[in-house]
Amino acid sequence: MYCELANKLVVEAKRTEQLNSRNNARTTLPVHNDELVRDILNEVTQLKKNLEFFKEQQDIMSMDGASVDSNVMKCQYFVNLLCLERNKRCLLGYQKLRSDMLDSMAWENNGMDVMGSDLGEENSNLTHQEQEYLKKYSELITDMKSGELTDIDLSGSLTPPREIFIDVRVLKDAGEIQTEYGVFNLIKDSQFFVRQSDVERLIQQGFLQKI
Amino acid sequence: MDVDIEDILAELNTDSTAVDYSGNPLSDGISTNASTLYNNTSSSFPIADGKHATPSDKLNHIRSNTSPSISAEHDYSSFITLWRNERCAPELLPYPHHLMTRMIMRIQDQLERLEIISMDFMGQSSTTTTTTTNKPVNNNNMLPLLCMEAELERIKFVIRSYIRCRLSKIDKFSLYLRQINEQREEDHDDQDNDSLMPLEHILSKDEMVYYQRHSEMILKLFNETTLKHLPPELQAINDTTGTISMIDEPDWNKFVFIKVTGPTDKSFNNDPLLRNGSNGKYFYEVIIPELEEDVELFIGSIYVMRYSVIKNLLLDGKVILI
Repeated sequence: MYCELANKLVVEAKRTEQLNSRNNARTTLPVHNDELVRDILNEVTQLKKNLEFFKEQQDIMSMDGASVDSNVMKCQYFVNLLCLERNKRCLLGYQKLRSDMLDSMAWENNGMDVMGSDLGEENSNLTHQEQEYLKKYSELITDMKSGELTDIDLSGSLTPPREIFIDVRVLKDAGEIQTEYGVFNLIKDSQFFVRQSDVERLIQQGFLQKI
Repeated sequence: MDVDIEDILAELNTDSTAVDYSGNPLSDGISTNASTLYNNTSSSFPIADGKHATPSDKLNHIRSNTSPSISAEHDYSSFITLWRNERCAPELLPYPHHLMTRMIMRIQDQLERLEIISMDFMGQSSTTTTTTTNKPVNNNNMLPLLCMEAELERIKFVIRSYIRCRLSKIDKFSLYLRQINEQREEDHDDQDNDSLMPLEHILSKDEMVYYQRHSEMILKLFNETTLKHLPPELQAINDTTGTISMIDEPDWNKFVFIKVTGPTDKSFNNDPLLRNGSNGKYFYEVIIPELEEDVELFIGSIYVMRYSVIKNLLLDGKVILI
């Protein structure tokens, strides 16, 4: 049937969404389904051809003066058009979901100490347009932070602060990382009693675990 | 026999402070420019009374001298209200320009002060012979410093959350915002299009930049990945002629929890919308258009209402969302 492939695409998108809503830790983007999208686009061109054909037919009919069949023609034309629209909706919906996920990735990864290392293992799953988009969006976020709101770390944590000092445990990293407020020697499995604002970034990056 | 002299007492009270108020250039300037909704009034009390401009109201305002001065505390509490409203409302609310600049200024000030104090503190702890004895941190007491830090963290969190919330709404309604902007440009001659606020009022400068750049980006992405391959008549991203409109409007009929707070200056007699109920309580009367039903919103109580019904009351600061 028409739009069956598009339906498949949407179902896949839905699955991705559910997967990501369940494990709320990190968004992981599956591979962009190039093949399916291409198939849908083929279908779209086919439908488009149909439309043109119907239009021609209609013109010929009207020349002949056969008014009886023109209603049927119109109906066929309409169904084809609706299918086109539906395909468009599905394609855009899929793309929108992906770009939304990219946005959230950009927000949660951004403002980290090492900005350039966006190129994680997920990146191979993105098409190069999406990679470009992600890069631009991260740039935009950085620009936003350097604007009027310099003192407010926009990409900071969205959970309200409770205490100033917290206990953290080092999960995986060794070596001196932090140099902004003095140096911490982060050795694996050691514990620190530090100010929350200092280590917020490291927690977001997953180096530290809050206790 | 009882003589109620409360009025006289109040007058005596105001007399003693009258000089203070007239000498305050800030509050004066504010009461004059409080003519537009929400945004300009936000300079004095952000979400607070937009109906403030009516002459009788103003007169009373001056007479009773209840004009809330611009204090940090007041700004903070009104910002919290704004934040709550923003998080609950389905649409993007206007940006409180003045309030925000003041908040940010204060944060910068406080950060600097904190740094200076802690520097002093460090100096004192290392070289105990420093002579500055007029600072309260002298006695090696860290508590004020910690409190200041925690306070700053909290305020920064609220602002961060507020802005992030707005940004997500901007993302969601970017096409709708564009439509608003275009409509405004089209009928620029009409002065009285109140419903369409200019985008500069709704968004801050930074948000404007964000909105423009992000919508550009996302359009480019869509164009390259899908729209390019579609037939030309289907390439529009803001198509409203199809079977389904592609422009996401805010859900005006979303249900929200409201608390009716009444006019901010507590002068119940001067609010034209306020009615007096049979049991002596004041209430606002709103009409739900679909049901053609009147609802009486008593002051101090909590209701679940459609957003479109209470939108104007919200912008005037007479109800808050919770």
